Amino acid sequence: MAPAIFNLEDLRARKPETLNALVTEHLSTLLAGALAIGLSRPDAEEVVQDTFAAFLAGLDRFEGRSSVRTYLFGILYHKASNLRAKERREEGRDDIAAVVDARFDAAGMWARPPRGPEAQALDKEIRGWIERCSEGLSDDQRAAFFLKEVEGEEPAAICNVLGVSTTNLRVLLHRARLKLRECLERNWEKKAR
Amino acid sequence: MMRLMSAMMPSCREVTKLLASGDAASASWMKRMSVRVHLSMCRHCARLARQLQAISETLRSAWAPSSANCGEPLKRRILDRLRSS
Repeated sequence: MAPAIFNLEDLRARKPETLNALVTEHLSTLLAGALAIGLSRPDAEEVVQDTFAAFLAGLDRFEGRSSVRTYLFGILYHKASNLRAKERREEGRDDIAAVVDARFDAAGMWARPPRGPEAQALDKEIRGWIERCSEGLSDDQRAAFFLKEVEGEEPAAICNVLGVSTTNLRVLLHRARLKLRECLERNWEKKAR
Repeated sequence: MMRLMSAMMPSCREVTKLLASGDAASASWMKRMSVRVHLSMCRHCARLARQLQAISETLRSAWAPSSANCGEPLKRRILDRLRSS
């Protein structure tokens, strides 16, 4: 379905039907994104509100060059990561690539093969582990994963939102997936013990 | 053909990198084929591939907009604020 086209003049004039259409179109996606990044529910709702408000306040800056959705996401991501920065926990250096690399031998075969759930059907426990594991990802990794996997956004648009190059985006997603898998394996091993 | 294929067989390290980085999906036909052949012969990488799939599926559903439960009150609050801005 093609996204709705909003008349900038109607938005500027705060026409009720246009505002309604704007919020209806984008609210659930923005809220889902804010939650995916790791904000609490109250914080997510507040940031989403601020995002819509900021979009309208800065309408002149929009120029219609990107899609409204991408543009809104850019604002949301900026606000969400500022909020998270205030309550930043200790984030160690990201050495997941080295951790995984150490599992291969010189020939590139598995020296320490992947363990973890084999189940085809995802039970509640496995889902729970994965969701909790996502809390160990950085904001940009979570946002990248959300935009790519849930929203199916184009790499170029995601790069725009996060302010990263295509190479950086690939690295973000690569590290995110490896971290999640390693975390899933740890949870499974802890239980199996 | 077989010699070409075996010369191009990726290692487990390479397959892991291709799958985790998402490059496997956008790679050349030849590369995608060689990954598929590798996965059919290597149970370790096959397991990793299934796990990555499970991770994607789980978060896709957990983070889906439909799971966000927006609710009318929130929508109304936002519209009220925007109308008076």
